[in-house]
Amino acid sequence: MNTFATASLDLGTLLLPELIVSVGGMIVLLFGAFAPEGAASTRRAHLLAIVFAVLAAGATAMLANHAPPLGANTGPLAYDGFRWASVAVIMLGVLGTLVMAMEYNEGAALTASEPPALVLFSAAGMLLLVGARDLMLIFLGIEVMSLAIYVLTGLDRSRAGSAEGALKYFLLGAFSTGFLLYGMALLYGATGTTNLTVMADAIATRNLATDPLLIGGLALLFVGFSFKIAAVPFHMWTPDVYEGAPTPYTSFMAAGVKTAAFAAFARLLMDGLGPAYASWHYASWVLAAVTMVVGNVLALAQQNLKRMLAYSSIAHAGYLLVAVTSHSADGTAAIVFYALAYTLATVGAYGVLCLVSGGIEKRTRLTDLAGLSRTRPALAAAMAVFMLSLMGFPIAGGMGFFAKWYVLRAALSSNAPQLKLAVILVLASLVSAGYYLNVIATMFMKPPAEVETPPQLVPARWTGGVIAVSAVLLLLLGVYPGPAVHWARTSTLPMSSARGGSGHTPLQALAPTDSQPALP
Amino acid sequence: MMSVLTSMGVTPAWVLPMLLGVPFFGSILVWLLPRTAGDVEASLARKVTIALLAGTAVLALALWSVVPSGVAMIDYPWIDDFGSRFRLAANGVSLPLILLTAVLMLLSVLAIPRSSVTHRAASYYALILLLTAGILGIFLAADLLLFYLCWELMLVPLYFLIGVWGSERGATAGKTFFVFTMLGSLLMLVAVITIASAAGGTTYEQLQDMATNRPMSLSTQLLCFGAFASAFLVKSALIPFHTWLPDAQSEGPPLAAVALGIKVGTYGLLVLAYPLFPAAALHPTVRMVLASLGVVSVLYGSLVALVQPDFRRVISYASIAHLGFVVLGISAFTPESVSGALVVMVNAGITTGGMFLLLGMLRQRIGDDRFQSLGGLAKQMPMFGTAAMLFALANAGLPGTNGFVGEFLVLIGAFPTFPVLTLLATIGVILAAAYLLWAVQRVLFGPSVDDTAAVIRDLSRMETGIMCVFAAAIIGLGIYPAPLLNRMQISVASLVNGVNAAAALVPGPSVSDGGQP
Repeated sequence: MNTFATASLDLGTLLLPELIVSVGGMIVLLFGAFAPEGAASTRRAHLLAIVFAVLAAGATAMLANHAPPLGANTGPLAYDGFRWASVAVIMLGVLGTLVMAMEYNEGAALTASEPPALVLFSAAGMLLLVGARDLMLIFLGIEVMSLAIYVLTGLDRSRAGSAEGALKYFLLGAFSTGFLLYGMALLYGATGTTNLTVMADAIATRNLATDPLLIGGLALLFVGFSFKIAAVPFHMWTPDVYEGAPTPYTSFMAAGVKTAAFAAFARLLMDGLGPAYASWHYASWVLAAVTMVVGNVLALAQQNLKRMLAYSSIAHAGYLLVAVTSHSADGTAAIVFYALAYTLATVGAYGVLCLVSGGIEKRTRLTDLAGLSRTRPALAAAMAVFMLSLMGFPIAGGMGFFAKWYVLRAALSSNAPQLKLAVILVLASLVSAGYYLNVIATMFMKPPAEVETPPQLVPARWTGGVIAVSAVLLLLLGVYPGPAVHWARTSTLPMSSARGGSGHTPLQALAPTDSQPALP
Repeated sequence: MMSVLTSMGVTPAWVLPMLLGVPFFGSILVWLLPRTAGDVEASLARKVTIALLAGTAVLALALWSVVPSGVAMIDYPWIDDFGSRFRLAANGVSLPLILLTAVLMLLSVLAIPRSSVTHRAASYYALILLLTAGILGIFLAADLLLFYLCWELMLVPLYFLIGVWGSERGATAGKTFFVFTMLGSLLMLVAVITIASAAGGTTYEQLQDMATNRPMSLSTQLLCFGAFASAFLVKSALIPFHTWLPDAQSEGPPLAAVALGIKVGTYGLLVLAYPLFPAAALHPTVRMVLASLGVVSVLYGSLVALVQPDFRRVISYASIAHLGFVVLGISAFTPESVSGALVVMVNAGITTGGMFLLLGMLRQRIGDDRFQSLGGLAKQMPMFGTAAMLFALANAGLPGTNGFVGEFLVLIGAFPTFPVLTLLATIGVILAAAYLLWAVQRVLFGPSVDDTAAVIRDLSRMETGIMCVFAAAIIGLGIYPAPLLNRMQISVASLVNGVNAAAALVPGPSVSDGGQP
């Protein structure tokens, strides 16, 4: 086992999780080609995919324990704690999605073995994305991840909404990829490299932080990534796509895609573009503020739960952007910790939706939850935990509170304290209480609505298991978050400014603080 | 007494965590009780809850007896990376409130009639235990993060109790309550994280150390104090942040109203906001604003109480008026006025708590407590009449009742600092007599209204027993408050001196004189 600790870190070892997931996807595809059609084969294909996801998670844990410590790598692939932590969070989302999809697809009569393979392919893209330290690899990861997701969105051909979502997502996604690629090209033009380490050194030594070419590249990169993480004003697709996609894949989009894109964005900004912090700080500041406010305010008006959760996920992108804006090791730890809490709560909440909608997408309105506490008390209690967790409420919301705490801590204790952003964050989460509490009030304080045909609740033990595990983990980590905090703290990104370079301007001197007007 | 208990092995080392653990884990236990037919479940859950709360009250009594005049503390590692520890403590300031909370919650549950909670009884009682744990945690915590968790923990059970088991308008009242208090708490969260980052940890000890040895600048202190005060004053419903309280207290079950009457907000103001930001707290402008808000609460609360249509709202506004006295006492910040404020906090809990339970008993019988449909109850319900009269007199601060002691101390203590404001507050005492006696007169002595002509049962034996406990506390503390005052004395003195000394360290306008604005 100690071979990993030596310098013999070949590409195959470093890409082990990605390889397992990709090969797993192909095997599942082959299985689908030869197995007889039907519900039983679909279930087996899902189980096979789950096995590969577990294997990949195991490989990640092994690599995380044996890979050399932080800060040493300069190559195209990262092997720092931040990568392994992000991979762990993503694999959690993948597992939750596969388990829920297994039962959901049976209920919705989506009998095909391709969906689990597509989930694995998309996961391969995500894993590549969070490990990439090179613009080319980042682009590759994004494309592999997104292509599979486009297909998963349009999986349910019996519903027009599903196709509509897929088309919107595909067209806008392709458009944003154009921005991303052009931005990368400009960055390459300005710095002459695609490697993040070399890029940081080039910016620092040649004082490129205000170079027009670099600024242009940064702006286009922000547009491209903002689309992927659903930040305002590039969020328009989110509600339609989230509503249209089959519910388990919505949770995959909300949890997995967001975590992967954020991890890559943070690495790109802090590792490769760290020396240009002063140039991108305002952009991410404004993006964070606008995203938090707009996401939460629009969520207030939603009557459809999937749309409401879509706007809520936009708002959460804003909270995470606060951590990015703080530009500190604490900030990257906060991203990892937040992503874990968010993944647990989101997967759980969509799991509840899967069960309530009974395999079909007709019962996803808020009023369909009325009286849930009388018909399914445990389900209602779990949903209350997820809502309070997303709201960032302590104890009853469990880990969600510490996620907010961590982000606020990163924002307030960085070299450039973001007091205004912190205040906007707490006020935005106050607004979020409006719609999260609405869900709870509907479940607990309204009588069950009279429905002509009560929904056929598919027996969904596994989905119930996912919900239970998420809720219990959230609650436990809400009382004793010590281990998770420690894990996040040891999973930070090496900061490029800390690596040093001869011509570095000290970060403190460059960093704008709130004492100066923070808005342009 | 103390040595006997100590020799029996009663030490704060395990009483402190048990005090928080019994209700907290008890709530999980009760929630997991088997769900059976309504009556069986309700009766079982009620019995278990009463047993657990009785245990909590006994623990609180034991703590009161074994903690010497100083401080008792336990300390376990919790979240090392944030510098937070699981640290519980008790001193002369928190002990009376801990005991008050434990006893009040027990009595409130005893006052719930067996038949009144029929649906989802296990959840109902589990939430009551969780609420108890939250309130006790606020008083027990000696770590700011732990305090904040308990502070927010209180909200959820109250929200559900008011929304699910309250009146039809309960859901709205609960949401208003939740959002109002959360606004203040979130602003406080920003300040909490700011000072935790500066101090490198969240235990009171570390924060106190920073406040005394490395004080923050006056402007930072003012901002943080403002954030803390926003949380504490909204939660304690000082005017103009009070609008949620009357709705929450009258739409929710009596127990929720009693819990809302426990003054956690002013406790936080006194033990956190003042010691952590001494220069800001003793800033002349801040003191003047706080004292004025206090007096406005006394006067405005009393005037509004005069015109309320039902008894519960009168008591709600009366508790806002009491709160005004507490804030006046705290802002004057002399040993007498702070002791007086603490005594008012304890007494307000007792008298408004007793009154809300009594009114709950009345509503159980009549289903209506608007003045227009009540009258002449003294004849039909002599026991009820006696209790209501006693509570009204105590609320109005009649000498010989507990209400007098605290308000008197506050007025004496605050007079040298704020002579005009104190005189104005005195008018509040007169107003209190007016609105309470008028309310009692309309309910007890007026002519019987037709609706109430039917025979109404007087208080049952259990209810009379509960009221006797309240009556004993009211008269006992009114005649002989020494045990309470002695218990507070040392802690209050060290608190006041510590804050005054620390405030003098920060250069700023006229804080060096230690108080006189």
